Amino acid sequence: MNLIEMENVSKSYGKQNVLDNISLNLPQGHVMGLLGQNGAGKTTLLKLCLGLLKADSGNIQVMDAPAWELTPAIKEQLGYVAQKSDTLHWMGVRQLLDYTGAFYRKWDNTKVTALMHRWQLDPKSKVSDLSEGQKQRLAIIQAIGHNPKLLILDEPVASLDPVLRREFIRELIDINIENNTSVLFSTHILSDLERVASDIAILRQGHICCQGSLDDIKERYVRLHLRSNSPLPRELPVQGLLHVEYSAHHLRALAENPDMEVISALEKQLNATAHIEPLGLDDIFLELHK
Amino acid sequence: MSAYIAILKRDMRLNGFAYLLLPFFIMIVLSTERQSGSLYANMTTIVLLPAVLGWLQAISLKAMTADSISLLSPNGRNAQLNYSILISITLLLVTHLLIGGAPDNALNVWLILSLSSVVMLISVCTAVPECSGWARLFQLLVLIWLSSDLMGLVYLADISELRSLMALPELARISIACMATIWSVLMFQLFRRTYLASRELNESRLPHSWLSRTNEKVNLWQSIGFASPHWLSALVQNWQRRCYLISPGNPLEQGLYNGHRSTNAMTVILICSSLVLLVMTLLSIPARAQGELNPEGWLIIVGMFFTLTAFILSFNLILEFISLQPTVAKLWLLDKSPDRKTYMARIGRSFCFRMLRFYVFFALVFIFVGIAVAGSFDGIRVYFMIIGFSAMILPFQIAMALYCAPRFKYRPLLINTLLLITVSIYVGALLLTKVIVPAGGLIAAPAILGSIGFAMAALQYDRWCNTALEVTD
Repeated sequence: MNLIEMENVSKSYGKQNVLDNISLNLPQGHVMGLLGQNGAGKTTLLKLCLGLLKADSGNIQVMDAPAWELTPAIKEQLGYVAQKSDTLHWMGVRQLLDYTGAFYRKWDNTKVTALMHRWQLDPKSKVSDLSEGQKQRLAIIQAIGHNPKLLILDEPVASLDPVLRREFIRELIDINIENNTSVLFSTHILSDLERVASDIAILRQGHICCQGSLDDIKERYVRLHLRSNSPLPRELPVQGLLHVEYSAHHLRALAENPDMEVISALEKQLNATAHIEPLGLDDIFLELHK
Repeated sequence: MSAYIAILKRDMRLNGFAYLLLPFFIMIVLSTERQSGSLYANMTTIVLLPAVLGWLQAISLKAMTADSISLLSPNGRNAQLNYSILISITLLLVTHLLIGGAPDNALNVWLILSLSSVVMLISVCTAVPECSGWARLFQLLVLIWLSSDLMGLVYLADISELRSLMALPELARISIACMATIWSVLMFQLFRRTYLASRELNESRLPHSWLSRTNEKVNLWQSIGFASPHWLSALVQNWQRRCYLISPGNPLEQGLYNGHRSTNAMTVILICSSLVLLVMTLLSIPARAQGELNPEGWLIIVGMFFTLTAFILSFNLILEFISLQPTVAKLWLLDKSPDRKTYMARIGRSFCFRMLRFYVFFALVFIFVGIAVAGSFDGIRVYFMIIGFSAMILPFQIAMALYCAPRFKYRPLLINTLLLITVSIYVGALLLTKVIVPAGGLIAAPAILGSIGFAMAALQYDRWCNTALEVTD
């Protein structure tokens, strides 16, 4: 069952087309990382899923209901951490958590109190006096206090230090395992994403240029090196070659699902040596944005 | 229930002081009034009560929408809306119990209830973007309310002093009511264009686009949503220059309109208000000549147009000023002023001068109308008081705009302080004018309306900033 289903969704701000014909599914229990450069439309996509923005065209279903018309029953199963915490900063930490909890029937006060202590948040502090990292932690607690089925996080760890980032990732994994919670989150920190995400979607200029499970993507994209003592041709009969960098005796290319038999035949034909280099997520991201 | 208790707690922290103050203040105001059900008492309950309630509810709703987590919480918005309605009804009832009775006639009940509802609806529409689906309904309600109230006030005219209107011939009353309705429709169009635009994010909602839109040759009719002939635009522009209403050289207008602005919304208000006043004055002459018209009551009607006009003027000017803030750094670079503070001061000064120019212009118009209508210097005195009072609230409005605009964040303390200052000005003005002119209560209206204008502009500014942030993301 998919908790989020986006089908041919487009969104523009005036003349600026931010998302163009996006289709995306988030199955139950999956953790999907959303990657993209600044301005790629990540926040817009997340807000569309939450019904905070309305799509120009296309269909968005969240737990089988239109995202623009989420019912209280569905909202009760949603958690959201905004990119920039714009919360009621004049309240105290405990007051804000109590206020948020009042709207949920299944608010887990024990868990919230435990997290508050573990993440070193003073219940009496005013929200406005907290650092950005502390505000982020508070927003995360607000979002997970009711054990949501779907968690949407917009760069949740951007302001956290490495220790807290690791804590947060651990918490996210726990939530995912305990409640079979689906998570959709955007981040720039790819190492965190590799730790927790089962699926990846990469947004580029309003399109999803790459989507799939993390392992699949890592298997799908490799770097092909071809070296030869004699000059290599500029065009190679290999399908799925992307971003080819050419020099007379060395060819370096990002390859999508290259056919190994074709490459072996090419080695013999050109009297060359082929080397397949597996890529990390950050390399894939950089290559796809070249 | 726990959600309502949480909202109540939050609301008491935000507005508790104002809730306590409001009935107390209305009691003070009304205790100075010898005659119950007078225009003064009615103005207090009609204008002040719903205006402050609307303001408070806008603050409360803003608090809800400021936090996207509570916005997304199940039933959060419904609970907030239910709560807002409940607290407003409670306060309306409590206030009426405190002042010792219900309004004395059906028209007053209609005015109080309709204005309360409209202010609340506008607050909801401004503060909760999700209500955009109802925006058209709200707009319709505002239009119906404006038309019916003005028609009711002018045509039925059975509120104490306004009874003098009954002395006018039937045709005159109908004409005045029609003029008032046209005026209200134009004002409504203007209001709608500025504030009740669709919730959807689009380029035209952004400050820079808003500015670039005003840079275009927007003429009289375009600014209220119609196309117009070129000659009219040229005529109005020429008229504006002659009246020194625009000054292409000053930095504010250079920033806003690139130095060659054409007619804007402000002119629409000036022209419409002047036309209404002129027609009213001409129509009143026969009745006045026969001694059937009470000059003071008549002046009060004219004064009501002034207060509304002054409100919209200051509202619009403050809005323009605030909208300039996001581009101020760019303008500063172009201007080569030594520092940003100096530049802001220059902009602030030109803003003050422009505001004062408008007031001086209006003062002259109203003095002439005052002499024509009242035929004595008593009329002039009333207008001087009105203008003096408007000038009194002007520095306050400017100071708040200057303070809040560049870095406005939702601050309950600030907004409650604003409320307190406004109320204090009202009380001060009341005590002062009660001694000098009996129709003093009327002049408090600009303070209240101007403050609502400021609050709404501030809310709008905040939303603009959020929009800008969302788009740049």
